[in-house]
Amino acid sequence: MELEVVAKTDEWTLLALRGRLDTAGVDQIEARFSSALARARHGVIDLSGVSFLASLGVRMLLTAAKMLARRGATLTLVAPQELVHEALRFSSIDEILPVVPDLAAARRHLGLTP
Amino acid sequence: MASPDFDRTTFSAAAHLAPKNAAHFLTVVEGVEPERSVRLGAEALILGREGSRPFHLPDPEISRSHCELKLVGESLRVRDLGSTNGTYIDGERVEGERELPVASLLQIGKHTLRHELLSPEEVARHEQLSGELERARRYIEDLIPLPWSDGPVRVDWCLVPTARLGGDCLGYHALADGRIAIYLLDVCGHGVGSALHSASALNMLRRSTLPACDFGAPEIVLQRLNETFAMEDHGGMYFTLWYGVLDPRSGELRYSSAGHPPALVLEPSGAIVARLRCPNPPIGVLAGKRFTAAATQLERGQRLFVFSDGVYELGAAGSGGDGIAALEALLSSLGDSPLAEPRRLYDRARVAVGGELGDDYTLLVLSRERT
Repeated sequence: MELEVVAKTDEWTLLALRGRLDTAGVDQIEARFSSALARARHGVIDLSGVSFLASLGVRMLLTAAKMLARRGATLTLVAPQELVHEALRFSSIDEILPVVPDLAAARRHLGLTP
Repeated sequence: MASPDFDRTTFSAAAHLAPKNAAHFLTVVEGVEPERSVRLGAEALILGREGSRPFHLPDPEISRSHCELKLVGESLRVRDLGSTNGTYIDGERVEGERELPVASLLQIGKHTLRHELLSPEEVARHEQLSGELERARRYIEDLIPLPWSDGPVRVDWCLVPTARLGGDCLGYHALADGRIAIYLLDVCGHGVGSALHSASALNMLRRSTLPACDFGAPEIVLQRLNETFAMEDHGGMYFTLWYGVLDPRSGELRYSSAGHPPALVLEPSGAIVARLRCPNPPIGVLAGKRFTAAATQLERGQRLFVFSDGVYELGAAGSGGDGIAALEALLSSLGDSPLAEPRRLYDRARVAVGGELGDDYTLLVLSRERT
């Protein structure tokens, strides 16, 4: 499981995840994931490299979103693969967090200039 | 056997420091179930994904038989067994056989394990904790009803936690009006905290002790649980739930779900005729949430499958599919067979992943008999 900090600006922190976000994968990156978002203006997560999302992965995303929400920031999920999108739908996380197809849509969702 | 003097001069410095009767342990530092540990001895321990091994690691990047550890005197020897992704000691790949010194890290797949030398007092503590975990596991098992193997409605189930204590549990019982409540919940995570959380929610359902709750109305049950188990008040834990109420006479099934994968209705032929879920968030996540429910008909001869998401985590080892489609294909292939399916399906799923599943495996099957 890999985590890359793609961008850290005053608009957002963009993280890219790659690999299987299963129990072992979450354990590998969870601490880095939450600390990378600790001071983010907004969190944007590129999920295109994630091939599988288990319930612990959902929890990691949800916990980060709650942490951001406490100071009025949001967590946006970008470009999940079909299987990952299915997991987001089943957990109804897609009703709580915005899931968008690409970064341009993420910018629009956050009201940032294109 | 070498003389004690020979041992002291030949093997690692740690042997000098070893307290009398100290024991060698291998402890998970990173990976599934951190802090799980195993005592090492002169008998070889094989680490791998293969579920039949006493210390298996459910990790798709670990080979079935990945590496072997053996205590020779006070030196812990590691040998790679031709694993696909290699065995590493403190970041260095093991070719042939090498020593894993005390406090060094062994890395395989997504797992990191540490060689620890424990004093007799520490060993005793370890064993006591281990016994207590076992008692906790038995307590949770005892909360789950026995299968119903005759009558108009039959129920069977299978629950296999990944760790010693999982976050899944389930139940079913008759309500005062003769309808049957069926529920399966999945606390996100493993270990003692998740199991405690799971058991306290389960007890409220099986003893009908949620305040001001109509247990025949799934949406009300979810709402009351959501008020009771806000994640902020419960160590950040939340759970997903599927809850149904079946009228055994008419076959009316009222149901709701919260962040949970759909339950499936199967024809006797194995064809899937309905996927039952409601778009509600998990329990404890959104305060003040109003939950929705739905209703369907369970015909005679049809079966209802309720499961946790560990059940469809099947595709780890290139079996060709993850997700619910893989599970549906597996279910359909079972055709018209009586109950006792949950365990068979579990065995099939394990064959599919070539080892152990990465999450708790929990499945409940209810059938409405033809006569």
